[in-house]
Amino acid sequence: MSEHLNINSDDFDLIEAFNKGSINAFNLIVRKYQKKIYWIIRKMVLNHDDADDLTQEVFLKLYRSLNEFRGESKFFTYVYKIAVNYSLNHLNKNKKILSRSKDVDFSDIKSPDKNPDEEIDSLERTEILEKAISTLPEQQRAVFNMRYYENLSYEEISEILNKSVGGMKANYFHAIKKIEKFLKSHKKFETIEIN
Amino acid sequence: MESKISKDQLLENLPDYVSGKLDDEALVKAIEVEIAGNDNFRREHEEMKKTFAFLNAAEFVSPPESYFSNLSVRINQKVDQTSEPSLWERLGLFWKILIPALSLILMGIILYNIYGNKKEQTMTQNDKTIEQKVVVEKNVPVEKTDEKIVDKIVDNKEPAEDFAATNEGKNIRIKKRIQKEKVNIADTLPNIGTFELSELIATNIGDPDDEDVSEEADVLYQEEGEENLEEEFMELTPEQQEEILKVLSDKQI
Repeated sequence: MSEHLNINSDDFDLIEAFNKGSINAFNLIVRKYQKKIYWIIRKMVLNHDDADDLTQEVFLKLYRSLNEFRGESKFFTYVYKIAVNYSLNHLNKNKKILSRSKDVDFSDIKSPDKNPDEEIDSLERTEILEKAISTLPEQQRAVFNMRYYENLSYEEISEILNKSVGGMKANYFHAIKKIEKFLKSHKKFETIEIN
Repeated sequence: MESKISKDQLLENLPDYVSGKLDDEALVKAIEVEIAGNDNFRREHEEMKKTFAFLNAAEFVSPPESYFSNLSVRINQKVDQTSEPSLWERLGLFWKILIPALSLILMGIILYNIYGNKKEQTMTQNDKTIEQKVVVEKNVPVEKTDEKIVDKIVDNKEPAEDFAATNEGKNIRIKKRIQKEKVNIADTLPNIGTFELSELIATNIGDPDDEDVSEEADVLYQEEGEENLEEEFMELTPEQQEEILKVLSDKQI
């Protein structure tokens, strides 16, 4: 069965193959979800090195606990839950407001479709964005990322965080208001063009 | 009939309205009405649009693509390193069984010691009580026993030896005292009669119908089934006992 598996195979087929001993199935799961998991964590912890460590730990946890997955929820919800919990635990442990990566300098990476001024502008906006998100409490940050970036429904968010749907809506509203308040204090806010 | 949507509800759904994620048509319409009719709400709407415009434009800096190629390799390496169980993990099952078993055994020992000790203490206490009773019985003041015997001797009804014989444990001691008292009584109480003594005892006991107390009855004579004299004397109050003794000693004058 494992010979027919690929990155686009159904999650449950991959899990079944893994539980029967197929390491290739696990590799396919990693390749399928590594970017998603990385960015979920990265937008929570706002630091590449920490996101790198936590991503590996999440997949390690997945490797050990895949045989316990009963299929009662979507596989991605299950993976998401692990990633968010690891991120929240990390944030609670470290209480970092903002930590920029020092050993990986992404500023060398130039976007081919941007001129230097645009590049600087983009980096500045990124910095402001990360600082704005860092002002959010851990749970609001998780709700904001899941709703705005991942486009998850409030029902899915409430399942992942094990909270009420109404509470998640309120969290999202307050997160947006906090980001808005941070941006207002920055002169950039007045120059923002609404498309 | 439209249910009234509160201003808080409208505000709470404004982010989704601005980002185009609001599916509820009733809410969309209500928000649009509020934007048109409420200046504060309109201002909120404008500021939120700016916020979302910024969020849409701002991006996180992505790691290079090679990072993700290496990530899966590093994850597999980590999996290989940790898949071999450590010593603790190998002993895991052992500890999972041993520790609960040890706890149960320890609890059993503690409970056994507690309840075992209690039983021993109870038995020891019972033994002590019995010993005390025996000691008390053994330690009945020789003087009181002797006084009864004196009465008997005075009354001259029952040989002291017979009384002593019914109380085996006291035989040896009593016999010795009898010898001694016989001499004393003979010297000091020559004139007291049985009748007088019986009457005195009867008065003190207070029950004229008591067959043990009668002119003829030998109060001091111990029959089978009757309360013995020693016990009767012991039942008297200290004052009564003292009075009898006083009478006896007065007679010495």
